[in-house]
Amino acid sequence: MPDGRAQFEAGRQQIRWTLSAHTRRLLTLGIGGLVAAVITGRPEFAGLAAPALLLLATWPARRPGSVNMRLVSPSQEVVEGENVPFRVALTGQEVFDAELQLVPAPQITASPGAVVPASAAGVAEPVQLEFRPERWGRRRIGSVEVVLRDFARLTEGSLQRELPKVDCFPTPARLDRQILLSRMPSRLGEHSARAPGDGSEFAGVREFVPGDRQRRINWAATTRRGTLHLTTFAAERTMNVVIIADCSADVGEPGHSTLDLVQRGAAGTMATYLASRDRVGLIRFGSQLGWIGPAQGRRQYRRLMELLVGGTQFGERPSAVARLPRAALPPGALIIVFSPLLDPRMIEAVRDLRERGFSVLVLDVLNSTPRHDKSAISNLASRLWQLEQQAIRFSLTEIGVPIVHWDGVASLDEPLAPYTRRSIVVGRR
Amino acid sequence: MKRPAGKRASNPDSDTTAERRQPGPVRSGAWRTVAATALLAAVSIIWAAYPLDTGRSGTKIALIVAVAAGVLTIGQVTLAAVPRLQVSDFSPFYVRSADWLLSFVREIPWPEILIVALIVLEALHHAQPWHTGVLGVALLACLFAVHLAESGARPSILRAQLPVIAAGIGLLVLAVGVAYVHEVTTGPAYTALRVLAVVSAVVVAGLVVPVGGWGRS
Repeated sequence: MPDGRAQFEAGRQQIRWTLSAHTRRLLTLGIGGLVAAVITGRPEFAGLAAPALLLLATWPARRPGSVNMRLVSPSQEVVEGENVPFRVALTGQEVFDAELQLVPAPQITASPGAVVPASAAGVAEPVQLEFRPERWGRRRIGSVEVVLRDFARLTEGSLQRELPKVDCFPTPARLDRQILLSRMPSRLGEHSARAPGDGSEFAGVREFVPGDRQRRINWAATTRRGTLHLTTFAAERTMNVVIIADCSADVGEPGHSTLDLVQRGAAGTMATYLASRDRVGLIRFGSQLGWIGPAQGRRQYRRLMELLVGGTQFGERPSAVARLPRAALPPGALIIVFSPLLDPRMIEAVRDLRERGFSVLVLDVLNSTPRHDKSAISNLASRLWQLEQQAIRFSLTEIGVPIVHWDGVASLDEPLAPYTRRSIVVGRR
Repeated sequence: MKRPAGKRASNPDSDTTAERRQPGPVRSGAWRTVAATALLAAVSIIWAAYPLDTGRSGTKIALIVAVAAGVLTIGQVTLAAVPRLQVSDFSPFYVRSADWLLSFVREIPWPEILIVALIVLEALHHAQPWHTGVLGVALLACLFAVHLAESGARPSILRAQLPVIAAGIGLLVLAVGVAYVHEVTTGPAYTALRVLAVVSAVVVAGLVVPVGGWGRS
């Protein structure tokens, strides 16, 4: 469907009718009063039972055995922390009020339910319910619970219908400015390259040579110099960007763990580069290695996000550095790694990529340290761990891999500012 | 402009299950119905127990059960507006104990136990018929207060049932009258009460007949 939603008939759903708690209490009062009247021979106890028994006399004799439910299911792709509406329509509820609510699955917050008043025609207007996924991932939403009640609330009919699973995408981190390389592949794009071309950004003025286009003659310079001069423009090129998402470790506070930051940072970076018509690929480095080669467009974004969130069932184990797929790493690509740098295989992979001549930049998302008590041994172990982490980062920096730390709170522009101000110079291979 | 369907949730007479179950602050109105429940339960217990020294054997036990059931009924309706604890197998012992205790309060039908205890307490006394009649009205009010507190509904939902409630109280008055007739079997008072009973029966019958038309006006 155009808006990404699916409407489906849940069909006729069987209703399970039960006594309400109010009815059980009225029954207790009625029966208790009558029994007391019989045992004690005091008619006033029968009177004590009378109001309860009269109220029970309004019991609805005719109840629908089933209702028809139609669900306009939520979009298959939702973003964490965003409210997602969906609609439910009931028919055949007759003279019963229907209360609809979402019974949420874990990590889902449901909005308050809605009431569909009884309708004489038996056809009610659809109601809108909402839910909010609290964390990214492929997850259950929950089920829609419908409770039918009569006007005196003596009886309750209930039914439940499970909603389809959704892919909940991480909230993309903000990234307004991009990291650009000094050398870009010869493919038409939106970034101004150093090479002259047919772009719109002014590059300079040079002397006219036969074959140049006359419409580009710079008349001011020509008048000043006395010879024909020409305005030149920068070429506009596209970039190949490969994001490596290190999902091998998940440490830190839930909701702000390293895995959360990797997901959000990668999602934001992919969205930014795809919005400027660059070719973006993804390597998901987890228990299994999944990858998608660089490409452009909205469809590519969905493919990348599905891989990022759901992983792959048919990937390979990242047991060796050599297995990093060549097809996912086109020559001259900018490689942005989101990683806590805790997995030695990841560190070796970064080192290998640099040695193969790629421009690699690492966003360090490690924001926590191992918990330790205040004992001397624990303090020593903690210091050793910190020194090891510093050594890892130092060794990567020494071979020309910039490492910037991102806390997950600020936008990505802040730590990347030194690299977004000017292009990263790429040496000849 | 067409009203959005979602706005229907704001029906003031609704007592949505969702509102009841969603975690969040307890509505201020809920405390009023809980307070009314507590007051009516206390009045019913005191009324059924008074005077305590005229009761037969077992009165004290019935009173203890009634008081305990009354307190736990109030606890139950209070907890109806409070979200459940998130307990897993890895929760600390005190959290699991608190959850078990709250489940004990929530799951057992304390209002039903209260009703039975009060009827037993009243039956163990040599009370006047009008005393039992007043207890009946107090118990009925208490049951409706429990219902409103538990469901979070507004008292206006009872408007549709007012004729039935009135008819029931009429029958209660009639039964109390019959009890007095049983005690006064001769003289002009007997004739007057019998006439009154017949009139009451006619009025009550007139209210009871259109049962099918109630509630949907």
